[in-house]
Amino acid sequence: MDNKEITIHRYLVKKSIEGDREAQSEVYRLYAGAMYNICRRMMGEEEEAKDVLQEAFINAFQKIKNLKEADTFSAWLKRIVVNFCLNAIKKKKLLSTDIDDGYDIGEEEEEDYDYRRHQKERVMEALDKISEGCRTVLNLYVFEGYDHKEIAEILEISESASKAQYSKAKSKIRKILELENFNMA
Amino acid sequence: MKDNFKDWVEDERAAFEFQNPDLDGLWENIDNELKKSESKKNVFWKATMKIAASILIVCMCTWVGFRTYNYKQFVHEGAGLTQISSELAETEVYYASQVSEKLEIIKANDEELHIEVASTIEELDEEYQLLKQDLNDQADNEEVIEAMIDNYRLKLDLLEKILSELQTDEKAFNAKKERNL
Repeated sequence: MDNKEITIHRYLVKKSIEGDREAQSEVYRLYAGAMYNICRRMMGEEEEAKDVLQEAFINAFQKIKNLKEADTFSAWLKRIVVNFCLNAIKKKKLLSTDIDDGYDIGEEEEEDYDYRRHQKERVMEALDKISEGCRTVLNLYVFEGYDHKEIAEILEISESASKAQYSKAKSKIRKILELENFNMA
Repeated sequence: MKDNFKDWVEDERAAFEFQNPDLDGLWENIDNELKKSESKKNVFWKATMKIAASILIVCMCTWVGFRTYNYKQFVHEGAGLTQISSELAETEVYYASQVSEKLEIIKANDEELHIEVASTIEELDEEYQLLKQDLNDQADNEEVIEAMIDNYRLKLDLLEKILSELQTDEKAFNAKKERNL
């Protein structure tokens, strides 16, 4: 974003904080795509992602007047969206059992594995196929940029459990990709 | 630690993004929900304001009722100038003290005269009590108050005249005494 864009964003966020519905509509249009991608990755499919996105934005605009710093809007909104995704996943009652299954995975295959020889679309599809718990940790760590300590806090698990889930997620993706390659060959 | 997967995603992040479906349609739902929750909030506030207003009215009625009850009690128990205002209270105290002071002087000079004067003052007191009653009956306050003060003035005038006569008598008595000597 260049300076002009930042200024426009800040202005729109400020107007949104004041309750200006037009500004809120513009803010929605600016952020909907990026926030949809978070939801889509976390939820694993389009319709659920849209539902969660809608609920998250409603909640965000309902409490936006409590946001003190317009500059922190992006991180604030992202955290709301992530929380709504997590709650939706929890509602499906899959996350808790998955996270705690104590799966231990070796790291030896990982270091030299060349993911880049696969098509990105295949990787994205593989991501949708792995369990909710693994996908959640991988999404938060790789795509949303949280570290394992933050993920541990967000998911209320231990840091080592977060790391283990991440390794497990990658291992599952590798297996799916290899299996697909094998089937195609 | 080396992380081939994370490195790859970070290098080509944009290529990992999903194609956005039509998201403009969602705004309508969001907008409608926000409007709904706002109107709910308004209804809630209106209800709260109504309750608050009712409570306020009840409180005011209680207060007014209490004041009226107190006033009636105060009227029932009888009000002198003391109860009307502090200024009038001072006036009443001043006149009352003047009257009793002068009565004391007369009593010291002439016991018989004192009995006579005291009965006149008593009559005036009765009249004062009637005025008090008028005040209690919420008759024209100003007129009654003036009459009450006049009543005191009358008492004082009366007492002063008697006192000055006493003094004249005393002088005449002394002069006579001196002549006889």
